[in-house]
Amino acid sequence: MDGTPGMHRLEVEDFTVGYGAAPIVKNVSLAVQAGTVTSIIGPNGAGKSTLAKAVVGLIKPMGGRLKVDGVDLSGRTPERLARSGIGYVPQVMNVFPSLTVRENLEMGCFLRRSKTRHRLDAVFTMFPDLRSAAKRDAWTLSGGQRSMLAIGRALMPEPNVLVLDEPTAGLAPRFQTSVWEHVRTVAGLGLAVLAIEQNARLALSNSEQACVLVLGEVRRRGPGEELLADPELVSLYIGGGDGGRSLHAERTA
Amino acid sequence: MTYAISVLTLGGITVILAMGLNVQYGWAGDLNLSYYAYVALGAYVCGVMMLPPPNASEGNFYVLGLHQSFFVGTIVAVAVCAVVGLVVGSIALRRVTGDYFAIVTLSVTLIFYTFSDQYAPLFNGPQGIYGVPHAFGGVLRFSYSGYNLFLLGLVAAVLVVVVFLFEVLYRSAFGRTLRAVRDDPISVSAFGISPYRRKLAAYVLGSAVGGLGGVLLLQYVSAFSPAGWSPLETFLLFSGIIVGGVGSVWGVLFGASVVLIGVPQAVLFIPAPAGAATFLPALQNCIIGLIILVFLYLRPRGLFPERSPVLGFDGALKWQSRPVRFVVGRVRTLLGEGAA
Amino acid sequence: MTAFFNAVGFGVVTAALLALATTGLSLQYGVSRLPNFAQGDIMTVGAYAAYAANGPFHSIAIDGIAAALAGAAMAWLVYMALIRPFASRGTNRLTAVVSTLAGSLIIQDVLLIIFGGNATAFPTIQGATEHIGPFLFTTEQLVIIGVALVVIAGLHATLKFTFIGKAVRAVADHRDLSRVSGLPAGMLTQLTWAVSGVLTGIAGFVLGLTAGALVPTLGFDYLLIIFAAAVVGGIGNVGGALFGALIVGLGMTVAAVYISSDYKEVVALILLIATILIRPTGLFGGRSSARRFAV
Repeated sequence: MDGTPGMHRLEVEDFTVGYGAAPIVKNVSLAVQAGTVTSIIGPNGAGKSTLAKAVVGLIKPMGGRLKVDGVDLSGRTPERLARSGIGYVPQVMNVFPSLTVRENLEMGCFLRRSKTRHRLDAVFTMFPDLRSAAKRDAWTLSGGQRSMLAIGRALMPEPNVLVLDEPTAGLAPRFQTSVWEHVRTVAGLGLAVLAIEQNARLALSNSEQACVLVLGEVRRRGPGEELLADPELVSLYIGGGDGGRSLHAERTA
Repeated sequence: MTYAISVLTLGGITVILAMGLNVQYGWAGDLNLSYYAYVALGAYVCGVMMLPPPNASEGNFYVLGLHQSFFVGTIVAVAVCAVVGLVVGSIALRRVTGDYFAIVTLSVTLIFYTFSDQYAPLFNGPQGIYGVPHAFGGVLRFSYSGYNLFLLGLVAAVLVVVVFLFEVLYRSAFGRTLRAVRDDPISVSAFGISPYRRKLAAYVLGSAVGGLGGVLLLQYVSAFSPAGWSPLETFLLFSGIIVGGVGSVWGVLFGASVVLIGVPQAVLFIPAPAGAATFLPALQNCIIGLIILVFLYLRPRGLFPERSPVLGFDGALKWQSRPVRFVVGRVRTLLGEGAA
Repeated sequence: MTAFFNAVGFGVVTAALLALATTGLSLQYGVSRLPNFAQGDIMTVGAYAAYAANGPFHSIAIDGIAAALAGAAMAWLVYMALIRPFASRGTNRLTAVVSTLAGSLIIQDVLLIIFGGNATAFPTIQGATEHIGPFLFTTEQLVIIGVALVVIAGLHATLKFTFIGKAVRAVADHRDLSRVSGLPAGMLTQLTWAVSGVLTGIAGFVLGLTAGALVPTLGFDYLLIIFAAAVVGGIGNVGGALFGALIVGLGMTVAAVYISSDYKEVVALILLIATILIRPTGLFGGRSSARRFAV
C-alpha cells in the first residue's frame, strides 16, 4: 500500500444522482487523497447514503465522473469497481448473516483467493475480537463486532479506496470512538477513506477534509478541524438540540 | 353471419370478464387468480336455478333445480358470487397481499374445481349441467338464429352498462382511493383509510361481475362442465388488461377486444397440421403468453395507460425520489422527500 | 392398517419428489426473492426429456441425466427470460408472478404442440417389493428415495462447505453486499437457477415415473403442492423444504387412503392456505428471518 503522497486516489467530479426526474445529489465534486479521511456530514435526507452508493456503483449516477488514481471508472458495475480497488461498508446489511465470521472475510477475498490466508491474518491482527469469534455465525454478533467485521471484510482484497456509510450508526459512544480509531488506522495504511457520518463532531475531529451536504448539495467544505471551529456550523449541525430543527426549516422552506 | 354473431357474443362476454378482473388487478393491484372460479360459480348457480329438478334415473345430480326464470337465476348467481367473494376476500385480504394472495386465490380455484369435478351432488360432477333453457325463452319465443341475435344484443347491453358504470367508478372517490391504495397502502393508511376495506370492495365487485359474465357464458353455450374451463383461464384475461393498459377502462376495453377476440380469430388463418386438434388452441395460448411478455418488457403500462396516475405503478420508488401530489378523495397533500 | 403402511411407502416417494422440487424452488427464491410459477413446468420439461431419452437408450440412469440437464436448461431460461428482466428493474413483485405465469402458459402449450394432448405412456420399472419394518416399498421407490436423499445431501454439503456454495449463500443473504465484495452475483444467480433446475428436472422425472403417463399440465398441476411444501417448511430453507415435503407428501397419501384419492390435492391446498394465513413464515422458519437461506 504505497500511496504516492499528494496524488488524488479518489475523485468524484460533478456527481448527480437520483431515481427519477429530481436528483437527490446535485453536482457534487470531491477528492480524497491517499492516506487521508474525508467525511461527509449533513442532515437526514441530504443524500449522503445515495452519494456513497453511487460512488461504489450500486446506483448509476445521472451525470458525473468517477476516477481512482486518475483512471476513469465511471459507469462500472459494483463488481468491477470492487476489482478496481474500491471497498465499501454499507450502513445496514453490512455482513452476510448466515455465514461465519471467517466465511464473511473469505467472501471479501473472492478476487484474490490465493492471498486469503495472508489477508485473514492481517485482518485478524487488526481486529483481534474477530479472531476469537471466527467460527460464529455473523448474525449472532453484537453491533460493535458487526461493524468490525464489515470493515474487515471490505479490507480483505487490499482496496485503495474505502467508502464507509455511517459506520457508527446504532452503536454505543465508546464503540463509535473505537470504530473511528480503526478508520484512522485504515487511512494510515495509505487508503483514501470516504466516510459518511451522522456524528459530526466525531467525524470532523478525525478527518483531514470534510463536506457538509444539505439537500444534495455541498454547502461547506474544508479541513475537519476548521469546520469544527466554525461557530455557525457547530450551532447548525453539531451543537445542542436546535440543529435538526433549523435544518428541517431549511428543507421545507 | 351466424359465425360472426357467435364470435362477437363470446368476445363481448370475454371483454366483460376482463373488465371485472381489471377492478381487482388494475385498480386494487391484487393478482387474483380465483377470478374464473367466480365465472364458473355464476354459471353453475344460474344453471341450477333455471333447470328443473335433476332426474336421478338419467344419472343427473345437482343442487336446487328450481326451474326459475333467467332473471331470478342471474340475480341469485351474482348475489352468490358476491357473498362468496366477501367471505373469501375478507379472509384472504385481511392476511395476505402480493404473491401470497395470488397463491391463496389459485388454491381456492383449484379446490373449487376439484369439488365441482369430483362431488357430483353439487353440479353433476364431470358431466356438468346442460340443456339450460334460453333466457326469457318462455316470453320471447325466438327462433334459434333470432335467439342468437338477441343474446348478442343482451351481451352488448351488459357491456355498455359495465363500461359506463366502471368509467363513473374510475373517476369517483372510491376509484381514486383504490388506486392510491394500490400504489402506496402505507401512506393511504396514514389518512385513516383502510386499504383492506377498499381492496375487499374491489374483490367483491370483481367477483360479482365475474359471476355475471359466467351467467352470460352459460347462456352462450347452454351448458357448463369442468372440461369447459380451467383455472388458467383467468390468466388469459390478464393479457387483455396488460395490453390495453392496467387499470384503464377504455384501455382494457380495447386490449381485451384486440387480444381476446382478435388473436383466436387470427390463428385460424394458420394452417394446422392434419389430425392435431390441439395445435391451434395451443398456438393461440403461446401467442397470448408471448404478447404478455413483450408488453411486460417494453410497455408494462399498456397501450393506453391510466390517465393521471396517482403515484405511478411502482409507487414506492417514485415517492422516494421526488415530491408527489397525493390525491385521495378531496384531501390534497404534498409529501416531502423521503430519506434518500 | 396395512393399507396405511403401504400408503406410507408411496407417501415417502411423493415426499422425495416434492423435496427435490421444493429445494429447487427454495434455491431460486433464495437468490431472486421472487416466486416462480413456472416451477411445475420445469418439472414437466424434465419428465418429457426423460421420455425422449428413453426411446433410444432404454436406460433409467440416462433418463434421469436427461431430465436433470433439460431441467437445468429450462430453469436457466426461466430465470433469464422471466425473472431477471423484472428483478433488476425493481418493479412490482406481481410483474414477476405474471411473467412466470405467462412462461408457464408458453411452456405447456409448446409441449402440447410437440407431443400432443394425449397422455404419453411413461415406462415404469417393475421391481420386487421389499418390507422395511411394517412399510412396503418397491425397488423403484427405494431408488427414488435414495437418489433424492443423495442429491439433497450433496446440495447441502456444497452450500455449507465449498467456496462457491458459500458465495451463493452470500448472494442470497445480501445481494448488494456480495456485489460490492466483488462476487459475480449475476453469474452465481444463473448458476443457482441451473442447479435448481437439476433438482426440479429430476423431480419431474420421478413424477413421470409415479404418474405413469405424461400430459403437458403434469407439472403445473403439481405447482401448488410444491408451494405447499415450501410454505409449510418455511420458504428458502433447505431443512424446511425436506420437512414440508414430508408433511405434505404423507398428508396427501394418507388422505388418499382415508378420504378419497380424488381429494388428496385438496388436503395439500388446505395446508397451504392455512399456513399462509396463520403462520406465513412456515412451521420451520420464523426463528430468524436473517437465517432464511441457512442450511
